[in-house]
Amino acid sequence: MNEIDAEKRILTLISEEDDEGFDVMVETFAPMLFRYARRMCGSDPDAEDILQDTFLTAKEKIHQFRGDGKLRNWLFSIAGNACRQRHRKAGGSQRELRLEDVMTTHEEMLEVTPSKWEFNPADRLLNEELKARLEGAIAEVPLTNRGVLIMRDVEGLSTRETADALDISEEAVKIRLHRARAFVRNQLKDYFEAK
Amino acid sequence: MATHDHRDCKELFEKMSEYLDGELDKKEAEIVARHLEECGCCKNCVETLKATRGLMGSLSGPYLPDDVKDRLKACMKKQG
Repeated sequence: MNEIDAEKRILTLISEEDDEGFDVMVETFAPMLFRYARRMCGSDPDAEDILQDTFLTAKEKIHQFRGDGKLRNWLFSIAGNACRQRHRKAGGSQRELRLEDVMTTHEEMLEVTPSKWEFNPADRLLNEELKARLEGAIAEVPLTNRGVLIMRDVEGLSTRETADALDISEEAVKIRLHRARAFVRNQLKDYFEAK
Repeated sequence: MATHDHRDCKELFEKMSEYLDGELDKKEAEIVARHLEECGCCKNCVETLKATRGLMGSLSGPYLPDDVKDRLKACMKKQG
């Protein structure tokens, strides 16, 4: 069942007060929310806690879902709030990447050889070292930027959908995304250029 | 490659992802495209950002452990 059909089925079942609707919700959306929460929190148990909070909140507030946006994005917005709350409680940094954190010099960029960055997608998946470096770089992105980066580039939400899920402007999504991408790119530079 | 004013590079840097994502209006996209024809470092910048975006899109996992789904469903049932 694709996501659109699943969403229709979930909402129909819930409107009929059939709890199977929530089972279908978990089946459909838990894998992507887990990927998001795991990258935001850094551990499986924390990600599971986030998912539990997310689905319990969704069940409690499902009557507030207007049905005019995708259910997926609504769940992402609940999960995003849960991640931020957890991060705040743990005393995590609220910092956001600034332009000067990611801006490179002309000399640095002229030293780069883009052809070294080209990979066959099939090879990329096989390259465990690169995957570990990439995950490590994503984990170092400040949380405020990381949430946008994961939604846009890993999970494939649009700028509008990400803005809605995080309750920020599209302009803020674009700025946070660009700086996060540049940060990750800078972290990967040594790996690619050493090839 | 023609020489150009490097002050433009800093100004256009923040537009590079929007350019890659096709989110600039036609006029702005043309300005960036023209700049990239002249500026080797910004061209490298865009190409490496594009590669980075591609890499992130190819990430798979982490996968949801099988037992977590069952625990989530049970937890929602318990909530009533």
